[in-house]
Amino acid sequence: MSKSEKKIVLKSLDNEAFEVEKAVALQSQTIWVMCEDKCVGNEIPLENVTGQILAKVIDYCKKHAVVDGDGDESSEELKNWDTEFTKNMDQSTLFNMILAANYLNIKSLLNLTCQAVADKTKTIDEFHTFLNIENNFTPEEEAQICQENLWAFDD
Amino acid sequence: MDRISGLSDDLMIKILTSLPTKLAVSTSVLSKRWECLWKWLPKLEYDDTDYSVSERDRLRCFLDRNLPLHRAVVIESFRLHLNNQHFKREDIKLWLLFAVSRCLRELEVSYSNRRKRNISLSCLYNCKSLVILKLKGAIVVDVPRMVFLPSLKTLELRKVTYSDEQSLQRLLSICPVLEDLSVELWDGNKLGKLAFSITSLQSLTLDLQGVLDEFLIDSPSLKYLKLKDVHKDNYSSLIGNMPELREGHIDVAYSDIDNIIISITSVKRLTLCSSAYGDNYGEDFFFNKLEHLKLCLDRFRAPDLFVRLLKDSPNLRVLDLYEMEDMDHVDDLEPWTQPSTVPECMLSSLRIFSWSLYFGRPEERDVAVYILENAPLLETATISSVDWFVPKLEMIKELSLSSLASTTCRLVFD
Repeated sequence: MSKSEKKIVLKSLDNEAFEVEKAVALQSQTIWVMCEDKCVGNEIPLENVTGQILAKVIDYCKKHAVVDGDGDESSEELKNWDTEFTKNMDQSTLFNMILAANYLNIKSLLNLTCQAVADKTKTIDEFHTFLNIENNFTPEEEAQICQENLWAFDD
Repeated sequence: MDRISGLSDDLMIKILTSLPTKLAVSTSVLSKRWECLWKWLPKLEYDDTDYSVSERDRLRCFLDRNLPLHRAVVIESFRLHLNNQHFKREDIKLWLLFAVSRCLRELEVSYSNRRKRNISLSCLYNCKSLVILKLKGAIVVDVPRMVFLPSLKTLELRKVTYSDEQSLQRLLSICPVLEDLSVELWDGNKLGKLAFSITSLQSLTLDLQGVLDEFLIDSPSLKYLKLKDVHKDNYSSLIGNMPELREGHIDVAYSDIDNIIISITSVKRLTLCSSAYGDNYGEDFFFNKLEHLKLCLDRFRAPDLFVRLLKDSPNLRVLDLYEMEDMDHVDDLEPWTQPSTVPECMLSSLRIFSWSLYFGRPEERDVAVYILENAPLLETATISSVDWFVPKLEMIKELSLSSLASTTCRLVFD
């Protein structure tokens, strides 16, 4: 394999190009399938991901490609890195990361970002506020749901 | 529409699955989009710890009403932790029957009640999809005839009851692909003999509590072995060869443990705690792969024993000495005599040395100084003590006065 074949270019929705090692990008099942398909050249267009989010996804893939978790120490280190990675993401970024991980089909990143949403919401009120969900129940409907599932609503 | 509600059902269920079950259920009031999503949860966990009577009632009503209506076709994990006789055994059986009927992969049940009435869960032992099974407490293991757990890889049994002497053995015999087994017995168990002869087994954790009369471990694929049995000193045990073993933790009071030691010499990591080791250490063990040795000192009546272990471990990199926090034994160490030759690992491989709960007895100080003075490759040496027992300054003075063999060694006092 020549040097250029080891690298591929990922192009974001807003036309930002990222040159990355193939091994890094292939953690995405979606990209893997695209690469298998001979019609696609060395440049892969990713129409659902912005450059800002793609940069973060690539950071994640680079980290997880370098350390392949063979010893206790490296897997521990990787875990800490993951925690730091999502710790300060705001709702909108975290959200787009979930969408991107889902679209690119990177299972571990999807698990990580879904867990991060859960970690940021410890009570139903936090869930409500953090996710900014609009309640479209009438008070009667809401009362009935609470009544049916009383266990989940006792505080 | 808010952004999260625009996600696909699959993704939203994935996010819900990361939440505790109770919180996930309460998302049903967020909006119509969320009302029924939790019914697709593949992981369910119910725990009545610290519940009041009325909370237990509500949990019971909830399970009775909602489990039959749950929509997930596959239940990946079902965890039930109930600490009270408030829950009828018949109800619990029904709930488990529901879980088992949904291609259940992982089941964890712990149950306790003051009347010590055991629950029988015989519906479990024919669950073809089950991969992980963990049972704890007032549960009786009664394996019916003609059952099979063809997928079970992890089995954990903690302080359960066995219907007869053979029931644990029978359970093991219906798990052909078991990889990870953990058994904690208690003094109410009567099991006589047990044989752990499982070809596929990779990890075995046993806390025997002096209950068995005899046991056999013959699982040649084992990579991890943890054996604890401190209530019995005379034992009939047979341990087969375990060439794959990488990690061993042995904490036993047997008067003779040579046959255990000889079977575990392939380990990379070893924790050893035995009151008996003093009299019966065989001459010809050879731990050529051992890199990390952790030794419990307070059951070692003779402190020079560890030198013999060091001599048998030429590639040791890390040595941890620790004592149990038990002041009754503080005076038990015998005088220490320096070995005539320095063990090979100290000269050529030992990098890290730590001593937790250092009491500062003269014998201990001699051992610590000996290691510091004879291990030229040492990178760190950490000595931790209880402050009121060995004033820090005094300890630093004592040990710093010894001439360190390694000029780059970092000496840490905790």
